[in-house]
Amino acid sequence: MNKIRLVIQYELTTLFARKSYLRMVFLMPIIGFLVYSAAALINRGIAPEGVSAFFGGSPTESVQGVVDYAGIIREVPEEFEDKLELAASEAQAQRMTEDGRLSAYYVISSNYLQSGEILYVQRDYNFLSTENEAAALQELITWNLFSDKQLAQRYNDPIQPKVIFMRERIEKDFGGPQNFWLPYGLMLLFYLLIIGSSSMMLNSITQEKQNRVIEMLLTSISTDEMLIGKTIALGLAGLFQTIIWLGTSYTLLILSGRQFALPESFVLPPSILAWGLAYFLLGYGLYSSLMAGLGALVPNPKEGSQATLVVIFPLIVPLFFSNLVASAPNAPLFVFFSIFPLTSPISMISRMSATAIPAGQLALSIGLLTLAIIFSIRAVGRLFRAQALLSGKPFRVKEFLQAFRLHGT
Amino acid sequence: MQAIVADSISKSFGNVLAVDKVSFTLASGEILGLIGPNGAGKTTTIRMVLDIFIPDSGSIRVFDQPMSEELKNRVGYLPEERGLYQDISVEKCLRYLASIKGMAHNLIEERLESYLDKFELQDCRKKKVKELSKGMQQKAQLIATFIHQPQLVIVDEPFSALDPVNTQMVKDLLREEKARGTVIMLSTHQMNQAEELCDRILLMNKGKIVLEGPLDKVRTQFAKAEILVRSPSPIPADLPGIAKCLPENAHTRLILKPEANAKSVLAAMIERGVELEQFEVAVPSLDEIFIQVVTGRGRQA
Repeated sequence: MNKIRLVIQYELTTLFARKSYLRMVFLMPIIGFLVYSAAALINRGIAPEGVSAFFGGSPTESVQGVVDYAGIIREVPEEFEDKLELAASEAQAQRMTEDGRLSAYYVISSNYLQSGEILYVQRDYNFLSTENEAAALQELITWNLFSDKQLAQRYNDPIQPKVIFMRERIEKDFGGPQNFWLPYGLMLLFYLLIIGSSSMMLNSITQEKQNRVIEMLLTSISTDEMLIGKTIALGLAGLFQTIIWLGTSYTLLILSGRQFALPESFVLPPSILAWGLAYFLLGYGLYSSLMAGLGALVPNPKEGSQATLVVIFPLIVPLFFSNLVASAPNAPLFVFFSIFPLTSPISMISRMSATAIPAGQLALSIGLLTLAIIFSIRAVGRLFRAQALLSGKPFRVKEFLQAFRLHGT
Repeated sequence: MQAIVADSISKSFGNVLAVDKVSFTLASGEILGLIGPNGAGKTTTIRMVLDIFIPDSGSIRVFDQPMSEELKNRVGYLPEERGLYQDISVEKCLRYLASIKGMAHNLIEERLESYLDKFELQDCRKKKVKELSKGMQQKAQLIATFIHQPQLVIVDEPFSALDPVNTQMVKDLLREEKARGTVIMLSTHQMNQAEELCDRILLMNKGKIVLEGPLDKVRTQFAKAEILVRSPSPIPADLPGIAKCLPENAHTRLILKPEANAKSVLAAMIERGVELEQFEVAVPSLDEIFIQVVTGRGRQA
């Protein structure tokens, strides 16, 4: 036990001192925040005050103008003052926009009540600009059209549902192409996390083989102690990375939701974070043990990275279909992917973001994944022996698969 | 007490029989030289002793017990293919390798200082291992082998990559360890080093032990009736008991007739008034014995 602790301690301190690991952990979140910031900057229009204005949040920058030729806006209530400002004419609105006092303006046509026609004039092209931004104007118009404020409130926010599930399987109400992003993003995120963490196992073993340290280690610790120590240490490192990445994703989604008025389909329920951690750990358990088996058989890191495809291929397959998860999360194919142990670590989380998963499927998925981990660890434990670790033979796929077939049972 | 008792151990890799029913012992306070050509089975034998490989048949006992995780802490090993983490500092690497040998933190620090001083590596302790020269890495590897003061040390080619000064230092270290009571198994291709250090040798060839015993006994066993003499004057070819007289670089090699011996030849030389600067019975070097045993050829007379 003490030697396992020493292996964990060594692996963790070495890993956390490695720039490449720290880059991997923190670079993605930093890129995420940069992309978000850039998108937010574009969304607000290019601030004349520069980036500091963006971070400071110029109060006038997000205000949009309204030119009302229909004469329906009698009043701008207080709660709309930081969003919308009435302009007397298009010329005035244009000047204010050019001056940077408005980010854009709407022109409500004189026959609006008959045609519903509204012109939206924006200072700069903004790819993130959508009809969602018109939500404030829509509320303002409603507020003015209804004489009863409460009625206007109900019209704008008609239902406050209390949901009671009679059946386990409740489809979320998704519509629109944007639904694709969250399940796809989660699948990709978990793919990167699981493969990234499991690859650290392969890398650690092959480096020790290449440095010839493995022979020194084998005279001091058993292969089981080595394997357990590495699995725990690299799992903790992977968990740290997962928490950072998931936390960042969650924060970015919340920020983006506020900034870009993202629809409901982009909201990541906190329970998914908990399931995400569980599936990460199970996925890591399975794939790191497979990588350990691979590491025992490949002679050096170069061949190791080439042979990785043998192990990660099952995890790649769901990615081919990931764009369809959102539209058909309960299609038999995705149900299979989310239950089959080699694909479930990334597929279940992806499905979870698109639909409510029946408890039976969740239990089956976790049960099978746990069994697969036990099977894999037992097989790899037999593969992870000195003779294989000290061998310099080139890697053969057949040998790897055969070893699993023989020893796994 | 015997430090190692190997009883008829064999090991195959596929169809290749690497070690074939090898038996040997290594007694306390002894340096055993394990010699043999490449592929003789030396490393496989060592790995079986260290419990890295499990013998297909036969048994090995170390300090009168089968190798265990606890026993591994009492064994030091210098592998032929040096093994150190390349991307971390020398001191971190040595600390880790010492800690997994069961050493307490304080003791590691104490010994580390002492060994870094002894091997003149203090200035390099913060450097990454890969930044060291081969010789320096070899010294770091030796520290990893000895830092936990093992009772049994198995060293495979300890002198490779070392200059004469450091070679001498390692020889002194091995002698010191022996004096401290450490049992040493030395595997080397450098026969002169084995001759200088070993009490006994074990010559392996093609997976089998082909020669074993104390060095003097082995030499005597292979000694031929030959005498080396050095004289300022020519050696008379018709001396009684001399079959051949072969001039070599600084001396002359006299091949004796079967009935002659060194004493009778010396007496004959004195009687003939031959002026002698050197007179010694020629004992074959370990190199010569090695070549003779492995190739089946003797020195061409």
